[in-house]
Amino acid sequence: MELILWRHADAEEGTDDMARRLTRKGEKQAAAMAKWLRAHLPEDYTLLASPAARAQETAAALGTKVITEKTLAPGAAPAAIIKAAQKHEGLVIVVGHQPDLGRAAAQWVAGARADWSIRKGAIWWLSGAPPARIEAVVSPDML
Amino acid sequence: MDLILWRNGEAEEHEDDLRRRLSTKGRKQAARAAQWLLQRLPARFTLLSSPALRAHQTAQTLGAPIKVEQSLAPGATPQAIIDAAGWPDAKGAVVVVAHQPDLGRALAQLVAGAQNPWSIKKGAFWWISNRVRDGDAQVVVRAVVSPDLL
Repeated sequence: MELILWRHADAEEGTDDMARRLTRKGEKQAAAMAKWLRAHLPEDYTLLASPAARAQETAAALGTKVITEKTLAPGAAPAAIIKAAQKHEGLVIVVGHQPDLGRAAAQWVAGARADWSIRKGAIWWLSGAPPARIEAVVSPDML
Repeated sequence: MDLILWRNGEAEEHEDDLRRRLSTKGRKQAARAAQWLLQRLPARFTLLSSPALRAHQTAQTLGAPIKVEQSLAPGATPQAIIDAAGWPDAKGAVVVVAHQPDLGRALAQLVAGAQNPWSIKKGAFWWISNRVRDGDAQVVVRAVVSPDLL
């Protein structure tokens, strides 16, 4: 399995966490990462996103169909993230939140319960069954 | 500090492992990675290389002074790599050009506290940095890039 964990880009503050939208900077980060992804993704892949607005807006930058997964909302457990991805064949992109994605990465790569840092708008590209390989890590400020 | 661990590009065969040269493909891999790194590294950085020719040739593509460290030769332990780089207290950015599975072992230890070496493709590099957050020392993976993604 190939799994790309994509943390939502920079978002505005707000009292309703689910409604927080991307800032201008966040929109640029999402667009830059989407451009990089389009250059390297296979033709077929599945794009999953948390229902939070900032994750939806980040995913939308890819310009393809977004499947919203309620289980990817902020606070998602590593097992929930991996389960959501495993429902699909081939390469799956999961747009979600921290510390959730970093915990899923630690679980999938190292079988560890640990908080791995993933920067806003960054992707972690993992492949193979656990222990998965880390194929690429790219953050918007590195593009 | 910023630490870039860079694996040598593809190399030709040779009876003496330390004298294996980069292949044409390996030179291209190294040049692409170097171009990417030069656009993002600070103006001044430390460049360390294993004494193996394929590592030295990879390091040369950065066009900076190279310090050859015997302790980075094939078979280097994670601790030897960590010590050579001056992790975590060195200032600025340090680029270490060396081999597999040595670099992958050092990364697994630094990032995950794990024993099994992580995979690193030929000519690929990992860029990590350290920081202290809430009193805890953390390792941040800033980039992992292989030449086929450049």
